[in-house]
Amino acid sequence: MDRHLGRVATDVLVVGSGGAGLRAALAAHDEGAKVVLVSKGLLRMSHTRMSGGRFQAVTGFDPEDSRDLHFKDTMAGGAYLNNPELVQTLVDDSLDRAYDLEDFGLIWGRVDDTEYRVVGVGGGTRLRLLGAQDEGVGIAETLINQMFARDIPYLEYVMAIELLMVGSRVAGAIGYDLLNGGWVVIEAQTVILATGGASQLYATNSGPILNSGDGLGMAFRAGAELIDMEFFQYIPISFVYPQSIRGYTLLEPQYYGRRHWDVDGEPGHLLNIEGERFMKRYDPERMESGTRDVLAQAIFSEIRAGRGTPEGGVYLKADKSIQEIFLKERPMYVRRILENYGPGTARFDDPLQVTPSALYTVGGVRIDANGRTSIDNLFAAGEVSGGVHGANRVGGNSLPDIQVFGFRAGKAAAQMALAGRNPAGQDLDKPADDVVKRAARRVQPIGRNGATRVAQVKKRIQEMMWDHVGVIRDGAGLAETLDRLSGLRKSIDNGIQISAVKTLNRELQEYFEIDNLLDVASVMTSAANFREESRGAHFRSDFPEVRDEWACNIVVQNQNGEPSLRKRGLKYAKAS
Amino acid sequence: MSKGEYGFSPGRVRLPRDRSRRAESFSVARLGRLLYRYSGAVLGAFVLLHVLGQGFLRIPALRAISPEVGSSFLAYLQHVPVVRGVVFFAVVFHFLYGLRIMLSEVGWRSAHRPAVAGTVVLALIAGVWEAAF
Amino acid sequence: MLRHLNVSVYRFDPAKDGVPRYDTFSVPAFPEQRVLDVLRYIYENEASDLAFEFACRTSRCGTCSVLVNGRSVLACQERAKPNMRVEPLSPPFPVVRDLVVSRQQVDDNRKRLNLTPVGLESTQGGIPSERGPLRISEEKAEKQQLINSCINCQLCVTECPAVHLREFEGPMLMAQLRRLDEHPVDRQDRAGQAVEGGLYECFSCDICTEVCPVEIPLADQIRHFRQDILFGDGS
Repeated sequence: MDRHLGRVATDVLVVGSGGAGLRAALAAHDEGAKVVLVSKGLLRMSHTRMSGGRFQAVTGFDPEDSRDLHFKDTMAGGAYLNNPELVQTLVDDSLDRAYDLEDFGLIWGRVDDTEYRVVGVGGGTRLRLLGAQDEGVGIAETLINQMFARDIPYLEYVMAIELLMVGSRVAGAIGYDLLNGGWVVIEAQTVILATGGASQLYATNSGPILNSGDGLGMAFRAGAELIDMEFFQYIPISFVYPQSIRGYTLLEPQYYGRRHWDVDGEPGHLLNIEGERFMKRYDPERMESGTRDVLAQAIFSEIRAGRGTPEGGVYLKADKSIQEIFLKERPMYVRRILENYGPGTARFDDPLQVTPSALYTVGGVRIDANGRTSIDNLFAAGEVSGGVHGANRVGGNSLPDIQVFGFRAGKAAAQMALAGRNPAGQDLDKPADDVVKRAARRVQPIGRNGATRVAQVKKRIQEMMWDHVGVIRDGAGLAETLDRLSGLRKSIDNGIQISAVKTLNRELQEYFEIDNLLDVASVMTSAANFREESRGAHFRSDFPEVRDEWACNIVVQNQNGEPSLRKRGLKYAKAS
Repeated sequence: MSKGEYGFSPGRVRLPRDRSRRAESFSVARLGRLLYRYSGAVLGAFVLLHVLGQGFLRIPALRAISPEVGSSFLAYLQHVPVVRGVVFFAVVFHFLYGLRIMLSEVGWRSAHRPAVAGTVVLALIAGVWEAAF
Repeated sequence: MLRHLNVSVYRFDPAKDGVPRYDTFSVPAFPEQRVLDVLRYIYENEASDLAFEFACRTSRCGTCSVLVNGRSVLACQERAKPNMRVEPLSPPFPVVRDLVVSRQQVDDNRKRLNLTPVGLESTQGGIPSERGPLRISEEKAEKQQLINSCINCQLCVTECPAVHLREFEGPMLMAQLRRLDEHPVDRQDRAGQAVEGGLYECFSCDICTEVCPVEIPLADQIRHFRQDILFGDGS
């Protein structure tokens, strides 16, 4: 495809090259639609690729497991705020999508010629995780190879900036070609957002540098409903240093003791700088085997109280007797620990330094079982969508999520595009004026030589989000953050410096991203401020208990640039 | 993974290799490849000179040009210890390294680090032995 | 203790510059610092127009590959040096700007070779009524996974002497073709593709195995391939 066209027309536009976007592109193509996939970086810069590749599906290899149990585990993990229809779809389709991946060229780990190796996870009751040594890389490569085999056109370095609207329906997107510098208009019958989460809201995060909530920002500005945005999953333990890897997940404390392989075993021990096993003050019953949210809150509190290490973490003492089995199951982690913390730590002679980190955007664009959003012709799948995981995500559910809903969104978007194919050219010659104006405003600061660096603005957002809208939140901090965010939004263009370079202008890209980060931050902060209770991944120190009146979802929508919030009743009555 | 499949043992495990200092690390593979090239060049040069020398020694027409070249040239090559050492090193290294490549294509597998290191050591022994004794 | 690193960075914009230049920066040192930390520092504080690439920070995306003092490394994995020269991957990759090279040719090659198992009906979206795990032994499965864990970083291609001297598509693609050759359902002539791509141009030097950041025994894949072509693979 000619990169310099500036104008591209297709049936289905897929935004994002992670597992959801690629799966959607394959499904839409197989349905007979013309597909174009755009990604703002290289195809391989995705969050899927960073994952451990553990895929939750009821395979039948654990005779006591059932789809019913998978459903229940997922609902319980999500504190029953999940959309039960989405969870049922996830549970019903996940094995088929796992088989698809094997048909596509991935090989799941097995114990026998035709029997998969299944393992357990925190929050799951049975052995239900498929996995393989090639982790997320294998899944991403497999899908990319399939996209190549179908010759689906893709545009790397094209960042979608705004959705194009015709009336009340989406009709494509306006993107910026970061490789050559310039606008690209992509006309499409249907658009699938698969842009991933917004872990860049926090400096200590486990995701790729590109996860800046672009799809969330675009959908919000276009008027789509966002749901469960107050919930962000924090992994309790991650690397503290070096800077480059800070925040990258170190799994769970149970992996560092026998607990992960033996339900009667002990997890690894968390110690503060005084050598105290502090979990006894937070969760004396479960200690380090507790849920991710409680662990993250405890570690966060210890560090904040000054009982952390000089580097800003706490210690995790591993059980030396598990090193062989740990190496066998997680060789990549042993290598990472070796390279970053040294051989003594990799042999578990010395403790690891760990800190909580931002892992997963639980909420997102509200979808139905076919990935349809509240806006006509707009679909979403994967981390950008919301409703599947409720108030918190169970480990191993994100990969089936991207495959199941990527597939469904791709298929549905293709069918809709083919059914409603408008004559070429249609009415897009005059895309909504405000979108074009808004887009044009974005590039005004190019070449400006102010005193403020884009990187500094991003750091400011990340710091305030971590301090006030992170692991532990309270009303005063949330309200203050909302004020500061809107102040930042107003002043951002004053004195900003953006390089004038045309090819691969990283500063311009980050400037575009900040726009999305600010929108997502204000949505998340408003929702967190609204929900006056603690539930799932959302912890309020001023409302530390679950409160019955908050057994509901919060839906956020754009109203003249500001988030407007409302409660939405649950469809699922908690099974007693 | 079921309980007890690998077992818990407090013994020392073999850690993966630390790849974080690659830019300053010594590349055994590169050394092997360069030595293979240069030893091949040495062998080629030696054979060429040897043939020329023999020619001047034995072919009447060449002898007529210069009766001394053949004898002095060969004598020189045969009696300078360093040259003998280098040639022997080259012969042994090139033979063993090439043998490994050929064997590896009929199914013999060897880790390249010990294989190259062993080849270098054997070739050095041969070269030094020849030069010194 | 060292206070600053002395870093020299390759700068080149093909659209504007006739020849590349090297800019030097003095970057504060800290323990366990990676090359990527240094590049990010330079971008954030010194040269905001520096073009460089990374995403995952932990050797998964394979996009931060650069040359440090002439050796190809992942910037996120390699420790920073007191004196270092950072350059883009050398040919066969054309420079887009500064430290970024174009890898379009690699993906075009992958596309041409079709690295998916060809021979299955369900790869085109049809769902067979009876579905279940593919029949493959545990040992073979692990081998497939090992090669499929290739992160596409191109370090092996950059350092391969045969790529520079001969018509050779490089170790990465040979390993991928070998994976498919051993895949239980693939029916394409992978050995033929490999020979066409220069299987016999490889010097068998093991440099690719040595540079691979995820420790895939690349040279062995090429040897296995040659062995099978010689003796047949028993299938």
